[in-house]
Amino acid sequence: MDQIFDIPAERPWSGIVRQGQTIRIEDSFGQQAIDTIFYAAHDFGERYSSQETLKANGRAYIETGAKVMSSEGRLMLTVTADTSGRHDTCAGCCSCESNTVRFGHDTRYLHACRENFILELSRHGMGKRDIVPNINFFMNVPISPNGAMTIDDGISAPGDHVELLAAMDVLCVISNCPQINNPCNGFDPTPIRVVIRDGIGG
Amino acid sequence: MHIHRTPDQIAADRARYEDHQRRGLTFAPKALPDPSPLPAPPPDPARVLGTEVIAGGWYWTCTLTAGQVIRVEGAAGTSVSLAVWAARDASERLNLPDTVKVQWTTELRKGRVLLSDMGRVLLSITEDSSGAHDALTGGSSAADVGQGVRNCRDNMVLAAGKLGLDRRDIPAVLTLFAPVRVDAGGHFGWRGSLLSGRA
Ligand SMILES: [Zn+2]
Repeated sequence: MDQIFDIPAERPWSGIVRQGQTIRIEDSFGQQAIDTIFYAAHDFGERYSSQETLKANGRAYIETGAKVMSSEGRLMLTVTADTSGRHDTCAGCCSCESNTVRFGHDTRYLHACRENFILELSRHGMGKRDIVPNINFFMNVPISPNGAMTIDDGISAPGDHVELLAAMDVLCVISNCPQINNPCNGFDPTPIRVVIRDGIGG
Repeated sequence: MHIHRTPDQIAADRARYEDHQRRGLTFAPKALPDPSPLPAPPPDPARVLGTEVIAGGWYWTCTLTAGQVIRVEGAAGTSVSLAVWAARDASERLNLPDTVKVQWTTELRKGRVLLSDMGRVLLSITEDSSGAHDALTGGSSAADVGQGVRNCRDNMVLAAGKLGLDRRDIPAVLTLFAPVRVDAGGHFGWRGSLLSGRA
C-alpha cells in the first residue's frame, strides 16, 4: 500500500522510510525547492552528510544514481529516478537570520526553512544543532569553475519527481521551502506530495 | 489549490533578487583585496599569544576572543580542516552553505567571511596567500584513508568530544589549502595549479 502525504505550501513534514522502500518526492506545481534531511531511524546521531555525499559522487549536484551518504560514511539512500535533472546540496536551507544578511532587515520576520526544521525536529527529540546542510530537491544552484554560485530559476515542471531507495531505515524530514526572496520557489511557494512504497518504481 | 502571490509581488521580489545577484556576482568580486604575500611577514613576537605545531594527521583546538587573529600555516602539500563554534553557545556554529550562498561564491579568500547559522560573522579572512580552499567537499573519513589511519572525521569527533560536544555538533568543515573546484560539467576536481604559489 502506498503511503501518500500531501504537504501544504510552506509547511514541514517527517516520516520513516524503511530499508527497501522507495520515497518519491513530487514537485506537484513545479519550481518548488524541497529542503530535505535524512537521519538513521535507529540512531539520529548518524545523519545526512552533504560533504560525504559530494565526495562519494564526485559531482556538485544530486542526480539519478547519486548515493546519499551519512555522517558515518554509510549509504543511506540511492536516487533511482529523477524527471527533473538537477538538485542542490551546497546551498543549505533558508533562515530568518541569513535572509536578513542577504536581503535586508525587512525580511527578518518572513517564514523560513530553519523555522520548519526546528519545529519538526522537536517532535523527534532533536533541535537546532541537528540541522545539517541539507538536500534541496528541485533547487537550481549552478556553481561555476571560478567558484561563483547563484540560485537560478528552478527547472522543474509540475509533477516532476525524484525517487530514492532506502538502504537503511531513515527518518526523512522535509521543509517545503517558504522562501520568497529568491527564485527557488518561483516566488510563489506551492504544495508538494510525498509517496512511500515498497520496492523500486511502481 | 494554493494561494498565489500577485504578479506585482512576484515582479518586485524578482527585481530585488536580480539586483542582489548583480551586486554579489559582478560587483563584489571586483572589490576583493589582492592575495597576501608569500612568504608571510613574520608576526611581531611581542603580539604572539601562542604557537602550536600540530602533528600531521592530528587535531587541535583553541578559543579566540573577538579581535584576536589566528594564522594557519600549512607545510606544502598539507590540508587543514576547520570547524568553528561560537564560544558562548556551541549550537551556533560554522555554516558553510550560508557562507557561500550569502557571498555568491564557493571560493573563500582574503576579504571573505565565515558565517554562523545565525547570520553572524565568526571569522573574517584578513590575510590569505593561498585562496585555494574547499568549502564544499569536507575532509577525509575512514572510508577514504582506511582503518588504522587517522582521518579528519575522527579528529573532529575527538576534538568535539574534548570540548563537551559530540558528533551531532560537528558542522560541515572548511578545508584550507585544498583547491577543489567544480568544472563546467559539474564534476569536482583537484586544481593543483591554484597551489603552485605555495610550492
Ligand atoms: Zn527554504
